[in-house]
Amino acid sequence: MTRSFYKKILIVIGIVVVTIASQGFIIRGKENEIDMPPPIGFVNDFANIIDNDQELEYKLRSFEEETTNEVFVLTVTSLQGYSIDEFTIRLREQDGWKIGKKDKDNGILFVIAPNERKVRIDVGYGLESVLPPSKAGMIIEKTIKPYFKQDQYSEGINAGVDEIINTLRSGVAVNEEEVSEKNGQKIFEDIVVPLFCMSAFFPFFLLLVFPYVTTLLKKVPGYYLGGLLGLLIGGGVSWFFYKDMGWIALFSIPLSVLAGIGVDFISDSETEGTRKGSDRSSWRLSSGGGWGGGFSSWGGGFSGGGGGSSGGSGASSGW
Amino acid sequence: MKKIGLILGVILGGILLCILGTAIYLISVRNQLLRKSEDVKNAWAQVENQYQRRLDLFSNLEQVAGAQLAQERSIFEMITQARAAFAGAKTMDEKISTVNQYENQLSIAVGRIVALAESNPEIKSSDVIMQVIYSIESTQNQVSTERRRYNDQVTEYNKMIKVFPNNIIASLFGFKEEFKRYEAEPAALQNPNINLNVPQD
Repeated sequence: MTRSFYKKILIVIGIVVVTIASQGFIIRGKENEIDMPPPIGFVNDFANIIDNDQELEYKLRSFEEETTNEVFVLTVTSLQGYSIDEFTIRLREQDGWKIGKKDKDNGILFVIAPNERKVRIDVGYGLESVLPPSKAGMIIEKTIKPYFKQDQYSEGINAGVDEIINTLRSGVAVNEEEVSEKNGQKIFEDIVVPLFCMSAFFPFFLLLVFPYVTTLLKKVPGYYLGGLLGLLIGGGVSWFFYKDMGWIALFSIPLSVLAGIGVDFISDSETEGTRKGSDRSSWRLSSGGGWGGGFSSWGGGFSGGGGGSSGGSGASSGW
Repeated sequence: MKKIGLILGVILGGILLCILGTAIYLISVRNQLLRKSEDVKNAWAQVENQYQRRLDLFSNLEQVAGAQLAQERSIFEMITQARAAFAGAKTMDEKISTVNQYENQLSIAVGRIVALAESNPEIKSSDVIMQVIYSIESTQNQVSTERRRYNDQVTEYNKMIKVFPNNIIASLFGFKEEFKRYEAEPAALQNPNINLNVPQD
């Protein structure tokens, strides 16, 4: 164990840290425009006007379990200066509020703003033909508003939810074509791409495990070979990642070049050092750094909506 | 001697890998650009759908409420013109300029119709007319939602082909800035007050 060996290890750790840090650029979170915590359930009574939260929550949950349609109720104390239409559509683009299943867009957001005296039933793409704006408007006019005009919010909301559920039950799921097309895309992104990435991982894994490769890396003076292998693998990975991340995926090329050089560093150092378990663990660390960020874009469980989207169909009104 | 051979082999291999890497990089950028421009076109198709739907709904309204809205002849004439212009527009560029040309008038028309419905008890009590009006009101929101998404896509695409080194690769593969954005709406129209009901107290 010479001093220069530790120095090299330190440099490699440095490379890994820089690598992981720069991956932060790749995972760009979309800033939220509307100040709203993620949903706490199907019923989000932030304005405290619903008397039977629990009961309503249970009703909407069983409806979701039965039909997969997601109906969310949201009461707010303020629309934050937006019109209720703007407020709703922007909220539905935010994390947790992407209501409806990702491949079905079957989500409905029922928003009530008692202070502004505005109400909206916002219908996701997938339910537009079951609950068209004309129907949603009639629910507001005939069922909800008569209660709201007498400040009977809880009654109005419950009656509105019942009407929405009845309408969805009597309707048929729609737009098969669009749904299946989206399905195909999802299968590609959720299964095929990660599989390819795993296969891009594999040669890198081999590189680390096979003594022959490390021997080769050791034999070649300098760290070019490691860098080149990194370039090749990085090119492959960005090729398979671009669908999800856009041009920014190309970051993985320099990153993996760095990781490759790092691996080369370590295998060279082995000549000086000894083959110990701790050396191997730092190999794994250096390789993990190069790829970790990419994978985290798939990670993270859902909370709230299932990722569906809305095109702003629905009905709004005041009372 | 053996060592020199190995080094030569490695250098040659390295050059090959470089070429391969560059090729992969170029193709991946090209594919990204292709995909992005497809996204822009899809976003435009959504705008077009909503726009067409709104025009159709106005015609429905004329059918169900022509009598009550007789004094609004000018609106329906404008709608007829817009429909004809839109049907006549063939390319995407022509369609966008048609939409831009009529957009403000259509927004105003939506506001006027809704205000009329509000003030006219005969209209307000008719479920059929109210349903059409709710539909028109919704399309207005859907048009602006899809239009915003389209503009976002165009911005993203235009940015993408301007950034180095994408600009070089884009010109290499013949991509150019080919998508028009929607014109910004006048400030007064950005939030048209088209709610059906004013507070009744």
